[in-house]
Amino acid sequence: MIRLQDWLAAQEKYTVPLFDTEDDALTVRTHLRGKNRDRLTLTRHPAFDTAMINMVEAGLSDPDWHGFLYVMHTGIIELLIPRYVGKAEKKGVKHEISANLMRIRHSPDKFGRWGYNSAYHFGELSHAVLGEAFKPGLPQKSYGRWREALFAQTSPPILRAPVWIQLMPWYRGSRGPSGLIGSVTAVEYELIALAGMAYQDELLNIQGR
Amino acid sequence: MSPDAERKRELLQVWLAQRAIFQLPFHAGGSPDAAMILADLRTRLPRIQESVYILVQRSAPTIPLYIGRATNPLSRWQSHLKGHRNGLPRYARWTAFFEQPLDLFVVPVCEMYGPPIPFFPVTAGAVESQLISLGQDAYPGLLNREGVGR
Repeated sequence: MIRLQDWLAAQEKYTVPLFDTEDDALTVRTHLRGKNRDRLTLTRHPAFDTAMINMVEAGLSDPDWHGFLYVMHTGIIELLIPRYVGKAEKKGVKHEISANLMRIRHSPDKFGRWGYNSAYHFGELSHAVLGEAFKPGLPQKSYGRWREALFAQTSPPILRAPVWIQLMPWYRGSRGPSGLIGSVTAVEYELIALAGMAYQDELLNIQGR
Repeated sequence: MSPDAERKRELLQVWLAQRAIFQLPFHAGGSPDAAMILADLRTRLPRIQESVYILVQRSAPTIPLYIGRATNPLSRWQSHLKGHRNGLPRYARWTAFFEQPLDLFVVPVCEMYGPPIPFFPVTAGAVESQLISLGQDAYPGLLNREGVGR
């Protein structure tokens, strides 16, 4: 059986903490966003922002770069537990370059799907964790699952364990765990298949479990 | 098509061919009559159980159009057909395919021997993901689409 950890270990990637935290590595810092600076929001780790900007800017100047895959995880190396697998493709559905990736240095609210806006990971997770301090209304159910899985408490927001993210740039000709050359989307599903079987209770993707 | 995409097509075709007994006639072509399709499906499914389902063009070789998994495939197809009838955006691309005869593979979880991709796991979720993965590269027309178009 192919092991996800073995395949991940062999990939070109950036591995960085996902959340900006206090010195305890668990209490997640928050900040205010929105026109009126009234939307309390979880903060990304500066190393994550730097890695994302560097990867996407380098990628967009390379015609063979097709986007990237990401694996959010707790634990590292052999003890790595995948919590969410996703991807961002260079090509958008509406635009030649996806709006998720355009001007990424100046787009903290989209940021390769990890933006602070609603409908992006940090925005929706902030809503699930911080509730109406982020925005009125109920959060999406799926991010309620993220909150339960990742956070021991929400006020202040304290993680159960440090959360990491691996960003893997994907190029024309890159091979997935199957050993076959694959598109970003196809390989995302290969990773979900492997992670979902081995970590049925931990993986937050609905597919694959 | 690249040799790797050809290989993915072959893997998917082999997996489906080995499960030919689960291939059911689904729709004769033309405007879909949801009530008739569901009534027919109800009589053809020996019992309702968690299954991976693959909507295919009734052609040779088989062309997969949509891949999913449901605890109750009948109820899931009720939702799909209702969504299509009500013109939900995610079903916009389905209309063209309903013009032609379609079959549906409904493969119960208990029949999940053998993964579509060698050395991959054989749980229901893993099999569904592998089929979608293979389909994404081997059949660019696959209707499975996730996320928001940006």
